[in-house]
Amino acid sequence: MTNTPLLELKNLTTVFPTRRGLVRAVADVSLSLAQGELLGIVGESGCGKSVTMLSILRLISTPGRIAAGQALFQGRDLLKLSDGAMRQIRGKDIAMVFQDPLSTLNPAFPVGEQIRESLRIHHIAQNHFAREKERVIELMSEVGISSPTDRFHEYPHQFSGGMQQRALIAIALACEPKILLADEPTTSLDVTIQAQIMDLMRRINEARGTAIVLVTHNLDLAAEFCQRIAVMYAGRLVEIGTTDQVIETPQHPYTRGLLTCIPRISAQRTRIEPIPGNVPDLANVPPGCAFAERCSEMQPICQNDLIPFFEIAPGHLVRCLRHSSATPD
Amino acid sequence: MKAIKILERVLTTIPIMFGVAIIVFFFIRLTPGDPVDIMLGRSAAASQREIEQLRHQFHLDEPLHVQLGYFLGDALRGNLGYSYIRNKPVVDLLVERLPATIEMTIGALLISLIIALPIGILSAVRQNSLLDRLSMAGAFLGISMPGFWLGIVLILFFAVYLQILPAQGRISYDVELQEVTGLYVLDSLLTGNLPALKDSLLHLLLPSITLGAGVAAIIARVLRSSMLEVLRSDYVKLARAKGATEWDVVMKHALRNALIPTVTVVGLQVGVLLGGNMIVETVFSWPGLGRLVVDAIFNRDFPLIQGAVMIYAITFVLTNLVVDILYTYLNPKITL
Repeated sequence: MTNTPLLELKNLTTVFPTRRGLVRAVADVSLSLAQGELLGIVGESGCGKSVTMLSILRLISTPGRIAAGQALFQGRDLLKLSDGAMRQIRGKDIAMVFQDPLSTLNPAFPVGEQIRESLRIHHIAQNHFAREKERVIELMSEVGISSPTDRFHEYPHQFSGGMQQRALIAIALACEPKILLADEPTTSLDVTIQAQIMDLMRRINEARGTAIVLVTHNLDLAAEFCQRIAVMYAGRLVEIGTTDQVIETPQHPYTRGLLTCIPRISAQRTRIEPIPGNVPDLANVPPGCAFAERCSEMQPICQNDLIPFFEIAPGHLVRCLRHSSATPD
Repeated sequence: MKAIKILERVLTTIPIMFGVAIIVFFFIRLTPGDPVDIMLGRSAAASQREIEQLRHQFHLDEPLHVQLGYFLGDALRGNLGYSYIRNKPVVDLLVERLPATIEMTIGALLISLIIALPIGILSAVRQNSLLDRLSMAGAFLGISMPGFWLGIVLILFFAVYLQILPAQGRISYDVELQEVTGLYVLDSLLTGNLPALKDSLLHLLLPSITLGAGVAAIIARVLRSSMLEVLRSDYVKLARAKGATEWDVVMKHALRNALIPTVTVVGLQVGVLLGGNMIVETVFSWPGLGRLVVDAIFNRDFPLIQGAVMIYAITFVLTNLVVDILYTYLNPKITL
C-alpha cells in the first residue's frame, strides 16, 4: 500500500429531493482507497452504499444530485470533470459490477458484443474487430466462461445467473480498470456460485492489482474478502478500520449489533439478536447520532450535535461519543 | 431455418382466409336490404319477372349453402365474382383501386413514423421539459381530431388559402405518367419521371398527414412511455458505466428495447389506417379502395364487399406476420 490514495472521497454528500423532503442518501462520507486495496462497505439496504458507488461514477439519476464534497481519483476531482472527461474514466479507470446480472445485461445484444463494446468505447484494440473479438474471448475464459468462442454470440437469457455475473465482470475488466466497484455482486447468486465469484475477484485483485470496493450487506462476506471495512448507517459512515479491528473489536454499537445478528454454526447455541427499532427516515434524520434511538447505550448528549469521528486506534475510526476521550479526527 | 418458419406462417394464412371468406359471406347476407331492390331503384316499375331474372343471374334465388359453394369455388380459382352495380369483375375493381389505398397507407405510416419517432425519443430523454409537454399536448390533439375535420382544415389552409398543395386526386390531369405498379410515386421513380414524382408526392402529402396524425400521436405516446421505462433500467445504467456516449445509450441500448412494444402498436395501427382510409379518401377524392367499399356497402354489392374484406383480412394477417418477424430481430428471446 502506498501513502497517496488512489481514490479519496471527501465529505461526499448526495441528495434526492422527495415529497417528504430532501433525502440525504449519502451524507458527508469521507473514505480513501489505496492502490490494489480490498475495501468493504457494509450496511443494510437503503443505507447509501450503492448511491455512494454511483456518485463516484457520477451516475446519479435526476432529480438526485451530488450536493457537496470531492471524489479525488489520482488527485483529480471527478466531480469537476467535464462530461466527456468523465466518460473517459467510466469503464476505463473505474468500472462497476452491478447487483442483478440479468437485468444489467442488455437483453437485445449478444453477450460477446456487450463485452466488446467496452473495448470499442475506449479504443483498447484500435477498433479492430478481429483483435477485439480475440480479446473478448480471452476475457471470457479468464472469468471462467466455458467455450467462449461459442458463447460469444449467445444472448444474456441463454446464460445462467453465475455466467451472467461472470460476463458482467468481464465487461468491467475489459479495459483493465484501476478500481472495480462491486455493488452486491453475489447477492442474487446461490452460495456455491457466490464463492466462485468472490474467488474470481480475489484472483483479479492479485493478478492485476485492481483495487476493489465490495459493497455488501453481508458482514461475513466482507470480513472474508476485504482488508478494510467501512460500516454505513443512514447515509453516514459510522466505523472504519481494518477487517480485524472492525470484526474483532467493533466499537460502534451498530457494528456490534450487525455482528450479533449473524447466525453462526457452532457448538455453542447463541441467540440471534435483532437490533430493535427501525432505520430513521432519511428525509428526516435526527440531529446527533442517527443510530441513537436504537442504541442501548444512548445518552442524552448523543442526540444533540453531529458526532465526529474518533480515532481509537491507528486507522480505526468510530463515530460514537463513548469514545470521546479519544482524539477527534 | 427462419425462411422455413416464415413460409409455414405464410401457408397458415390460407385456412385463415378461408374462415374469413365464410364469415364475411354469412354476415353480409344477415344485413337487411336486398341488392336487387337497390339495383332496380325500389321502383314499382320493375316487374316481378325482371326481379326474378336478376336474382337468378346472381344465384340469389338459391339456398345459402349453394351460394356459398359457388362463392368459394370461384374464389379458389381467383374469381371473386362480378360487381352487381359496376358490372365489372370484382378482381379488376380491386386491382384498379388497391394501389391508391396502399400508396396512401404507406404515406400515412411513413409520415406518422417520421413525426412520432423523434418526438417519442426526445420527450422521454427530456422528460417534463417544455418540448415534452408540447409534444404530449400535440399528441393529445392528434388523437382527438377526427380525420374528416383535419382533412378539411388542411385543404382550406394549404390548398385554398395558401394554394401550395393540391386539394384532391392523386396526380394532376396535365401530368403524364406511365403506370407500372399503380403506385404513382413508385411508378414515377421507375420511369424516371421527375415532374410526375413531384406532383404525385404533393398530392400524397395532405391525405397522408390527415390519415397519419392520429397514428403518429399514438406511436409517439407509446414510444415515449416505453423509452421512459427502459431509460431507468439497469442495462442503461451499465451502458453509462461503460463510458458510452449519451447518443449510444439512447439510440442503441435504450431504443432497441423500447421498440419492442412500439412495433406491436405500429402493426395494429396499420389496421386503423386501412379503416380510416374510407373517410380520408372521400375528403380528398382519392380513388382508393375505401370509397369503393363504402359504395358497395350502401348498394349491398355482395361480391365487391366480400372481395374488399378479403383484401383487408390479408393485409392484417401479413402485417401481423411482418410484426412477428421484426420481433424476432428486436427481441432475441422470441422465435417464430
